[in-house]
Amino acid sequence: MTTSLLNRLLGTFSQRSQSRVEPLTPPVQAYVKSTAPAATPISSQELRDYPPVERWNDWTEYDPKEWPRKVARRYTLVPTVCFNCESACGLLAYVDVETLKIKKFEGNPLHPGSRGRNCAKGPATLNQVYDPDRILYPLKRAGKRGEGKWVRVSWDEALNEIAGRIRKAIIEQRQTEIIYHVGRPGHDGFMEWVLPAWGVDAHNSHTNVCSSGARCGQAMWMGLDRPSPDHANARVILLISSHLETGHYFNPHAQRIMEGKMAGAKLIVLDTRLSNTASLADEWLSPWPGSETAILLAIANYLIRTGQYNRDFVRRWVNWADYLRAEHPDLPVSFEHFEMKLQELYAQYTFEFAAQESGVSAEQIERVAKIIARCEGKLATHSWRSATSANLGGWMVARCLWFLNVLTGSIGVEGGTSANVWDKWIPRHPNMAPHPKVWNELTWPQEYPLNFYEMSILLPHFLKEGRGKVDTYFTRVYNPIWTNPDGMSWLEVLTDESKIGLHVHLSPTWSETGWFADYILPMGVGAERHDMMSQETHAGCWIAFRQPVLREAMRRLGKPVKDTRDANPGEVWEEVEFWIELSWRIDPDGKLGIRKTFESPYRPGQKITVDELYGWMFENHVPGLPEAAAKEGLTPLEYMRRYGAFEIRKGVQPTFDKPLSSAELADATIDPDTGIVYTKAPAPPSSNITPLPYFEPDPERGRPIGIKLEDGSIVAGFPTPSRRLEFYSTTLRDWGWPEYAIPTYIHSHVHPSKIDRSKNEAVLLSTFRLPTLIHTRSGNAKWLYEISHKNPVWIHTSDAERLGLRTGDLVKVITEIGYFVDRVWVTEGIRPGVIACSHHLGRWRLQEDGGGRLSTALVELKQEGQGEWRMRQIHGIRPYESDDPDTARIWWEDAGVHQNLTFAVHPDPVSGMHCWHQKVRLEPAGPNDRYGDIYVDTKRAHEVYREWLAMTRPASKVSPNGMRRPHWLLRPFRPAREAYFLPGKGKKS
Amino acid sequence: MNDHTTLVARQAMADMIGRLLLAPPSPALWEEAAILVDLAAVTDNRPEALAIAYEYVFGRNVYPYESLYCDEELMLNTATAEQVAATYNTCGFLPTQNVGAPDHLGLEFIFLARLIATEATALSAENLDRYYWARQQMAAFLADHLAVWVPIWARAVQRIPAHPFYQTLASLTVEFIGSELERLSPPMPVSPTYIPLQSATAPAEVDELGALVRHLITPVRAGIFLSRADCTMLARQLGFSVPIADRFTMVRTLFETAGHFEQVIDLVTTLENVMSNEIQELHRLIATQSVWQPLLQPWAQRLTQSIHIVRTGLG
Repeated sequence: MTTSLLNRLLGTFSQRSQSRVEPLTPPVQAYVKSTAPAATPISSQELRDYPPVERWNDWTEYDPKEWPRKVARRYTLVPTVCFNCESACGLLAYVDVETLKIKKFEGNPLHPGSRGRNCAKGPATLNQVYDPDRILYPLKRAGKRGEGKWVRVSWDEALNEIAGRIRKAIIEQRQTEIIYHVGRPGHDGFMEWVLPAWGVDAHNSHTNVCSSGARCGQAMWMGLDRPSPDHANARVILLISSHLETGHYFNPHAQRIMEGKMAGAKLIVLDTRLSNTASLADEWLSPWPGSETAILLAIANYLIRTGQYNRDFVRRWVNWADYLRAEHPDLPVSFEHFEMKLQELYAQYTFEFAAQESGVSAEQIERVAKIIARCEGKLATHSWRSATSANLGGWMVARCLWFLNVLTGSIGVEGGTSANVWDKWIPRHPNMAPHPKVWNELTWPQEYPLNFYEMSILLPHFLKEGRGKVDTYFTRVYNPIWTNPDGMSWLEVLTDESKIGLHVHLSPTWSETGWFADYILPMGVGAERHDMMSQETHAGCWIAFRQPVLREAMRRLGKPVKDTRDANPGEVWEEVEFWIELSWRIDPDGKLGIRKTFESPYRPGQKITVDELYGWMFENHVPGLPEAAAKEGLTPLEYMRRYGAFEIRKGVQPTFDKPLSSAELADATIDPDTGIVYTKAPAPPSSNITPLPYFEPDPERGRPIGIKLEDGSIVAGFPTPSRRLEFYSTTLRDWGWPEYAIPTYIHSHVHPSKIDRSKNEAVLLSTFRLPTLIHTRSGNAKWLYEISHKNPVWIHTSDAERLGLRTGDLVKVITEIGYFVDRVWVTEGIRPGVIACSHHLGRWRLQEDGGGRLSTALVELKQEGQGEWRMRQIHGIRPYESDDPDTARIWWEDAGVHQNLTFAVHPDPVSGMHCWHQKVRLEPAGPNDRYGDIYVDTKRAHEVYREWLAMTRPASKVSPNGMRRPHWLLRPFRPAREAYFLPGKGKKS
Repeated sequence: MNDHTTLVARQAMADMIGRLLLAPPSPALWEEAAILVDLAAVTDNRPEALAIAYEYVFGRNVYPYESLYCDEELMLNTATAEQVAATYNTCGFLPTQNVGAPDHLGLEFIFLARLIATEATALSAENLDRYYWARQQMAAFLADHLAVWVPIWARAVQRIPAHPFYQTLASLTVEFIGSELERLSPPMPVSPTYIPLQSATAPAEVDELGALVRHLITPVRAGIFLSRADCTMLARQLGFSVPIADRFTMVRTLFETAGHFEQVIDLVTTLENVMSNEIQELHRLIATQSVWQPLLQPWAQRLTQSIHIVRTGLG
């Protein structure tokens, strides 16, 4: 029965002509009488994450900018490797086959480290390729250094002048006047192939502003200096860092840390600042900077006194016997006596002690200790920069962190932490030259016999002191004026042609340092160069191939080129070809013995090509690759060009517990006291040339190759003097630091006792990175700068209140040698008494058209007196017209503040690491202060350098054998043994 | 009821109802509706007032999406919306209007109109297979979807003293559906099953009051759609006001304020009255048309249970 309203309305509708309602036409004949249910629609195609590999050569996608029209574009997908940090994540370049333009970069699913995923920096490679401000041609300075006048020159002119100069220096025995200073190395092992061929000790690096501390701490345990944590399989992950790993191996490790966490691992983070990672941790500890060691030792003490450490592992692998013999000769040499001593040694490191030092509650430290005690041998740890790079004695943070791995037996096992060399593969290069016979004291001074990597931060001061001069100085993807502390001291020496004769800047972009160069030579970014990469990203081992994507695309399209400049934009080159060509021109007739390194292994006497270089390495020195390639009918080089990566091995594979083979034992002898196994057989050349410590063969016994353990097994052991994990470092003892021979607590230079908060003193923590930026070379990535372009000073609410500051107010941060003015960000995410400011920002330029306009502020730089420098921002970042319409849409103005300029050098006397933390004094900015103001006194900077130099124990005073440095200890670009001796000292065994 | 002329009238009516529900009436639709005397009588000739009322009723108070009444997530495009979309797909219906989700009442009515048109066309062409197919689809759609929730939606609209036009439209919507149910006599589902598109992960409530509030604002549990206007009305009856916010916050504030002023018993009583009234309305509709009984009985039971929960939950 219908209602009256409805009836009335229906009646009205019936009497009127209605607009037509279309009947339905069902897509299938569903209106049959059958009562069978409708068939379930079948998916036409499963969803995929990536284009299938078999279609990479020819892939079609619709152009999204043409929507709603469907316009197909054809691409060839070329694998390469990102160049925007050390992770070496895989990328796929989408190259339009008609225009030969790169449309985008996505991940390479075949890359075992990154597995198809990238952080923001990877896809932003596109910005770097098409940056309208990038340098496309070789430039030579026309006026004075720093005047900003340039002329375009040919590559031939540049190569001839540089090669001629280097040749002259070599012939005149001035090998130490050639320095190659690298920021981001491209190709593992490449410069180890080039520089020894020249016979020079020229390598200089950024490591002492990066990881010298962590390396030293780890190497003093096991000889090897880098960790390789297996986060994905860990039960406990312990990070002393920010942003997962301070931006290091960010993406690959981030993935595995998340996997580990999702599988139930506990994540513990020690970071003074509330970072993104700390916010996701199960336990976040915010210690006073420099007190991390106290916490670690308290945890170690807990494991020791409660007996919750892996006794079997410690007994088997730690050099406890050496410790007892040396320090307690009155005691029987038994493990039980060692255990008693261990308890005594660490009894003072109670939770309460650690709480007092760090400001973290004793309850939380105890809670964390109990979590670690339950790790069941699956403790994955990592510290790279952060506390190890920030504090006096920071290397001891790494040593004490590794102590926990030792105590829990979490070394070289699934879910634990391995050494990098077990997960890294650098193929042997052809025609490798012997070690050079020179030692460069400008980079390896006598005062730092145990430093890890070069003392590059001290170069300006050494030059000012007249310790030497530099004839030819390469800065390669490196910007020391900006990235290093004490940048004004760098500026002073770079402008002094009597100290640096020729400055060659190899870079894809403009930079503050490049402005003071004589030549700027444009080198390709990640999509424009050849490199071979291998990094310890997880439990496994892989290599990846970085290649110029347009060059490879042209080859696939039947238009091969012989030189990467013919494929790259402008005349942008790549370094492999550049160094080969430069080396050839240094020694064109081969009489210097340099040229032969660069001769083709396939065409005797001819210059090697990039295809031959990589082809030879892949064919001869990458296990499994030739076989995998042959299965597909490819050469190994073709395989790598097609897939971009090759997995050598899955899973952990430590070497220390590997039994020596019968062949190795054939001529071996065993020292009855130490158990060390020696052989006189010469070492076979290794296909993997990842650096290892080196032990000079004993004239009577030969070289050490292993160790006989308590249970009689004869295994490889660790590459240390004892062949064991060195709880007791005879190296530290013998080279002037006996008080640090065992893991212990060192007061940081910013220990609370040194900070008077009543005088508004604080600790400036500058060691945190932004994972979206990568120092200088992200400066032309518009997408990245749109995300991150300011670096305010983090300040706790209580400190801000005391100073009368609110978010956005200006603060003057006064350091030992100057000050900077920045805005504050008031937050609860930083400890009271500590301020923080990211070091990734504050780029500047001196001329309006000086390049890098989307990331740099235009500044005025004045020298007001001798050594007194003042910088003021004229204006920030502004939109501008260019070939890229996006540059007119720039909406951000802030370029950040360059705090590093106001930091004096703080080289740790043991590791050489620049200790980044600064003791500062805070003041509200005055009426004449402006945002971005900087003042520096380089005379004072030199005084501070002398203060820190006075802390050292030079080899000339402490060397036990007349050498500059322990010969066995890792040292990049190791010279020949004869160069190790101090001047006036003879050769000793 | 099933002759061609009547079917044409029905398809036109369903189509107009659908279009009136999808958006405030355009001038053309306004003219079309004004021809219908009974509708014209409640429009008072002011299209701006209708637009305001439309926004007030459907934009801020009684959202006309089936999934909000039949699923627990209180989100758009949950399981029910997927099922409706699948039905559209099976029948070859491609909505041209973008209203946020396929289960908007207006779209469902336009779909119904298209099915009636199919029935009518098939009847005049003597295409019996298509004729019976269309009727089968309509019957299923009414029994599984439209008739399940529209009465609850309509009651929520009728509780709002907004504009007589939309209250009349709500009544008309229910009457039309009832008429179609009688015409098509579909087999009724014994017990409608609810399969969530995702597990009903309503945020875990930290306390009992939160759990009670969550129950009351989830129609498929409470048996009623409590709109913001309902909350305002309840508060006004108790002599205070609650600020406009999301429904959860408003209902929670209602209880907390009542607790603050020791009026909890008054609130409970008022709520019970509202729910009891709704039960009576449902029974009245059932009494008018027996076809409603299996569809509305579950809602009446939910209301009864909600009354019990409110009483016992607050002691």
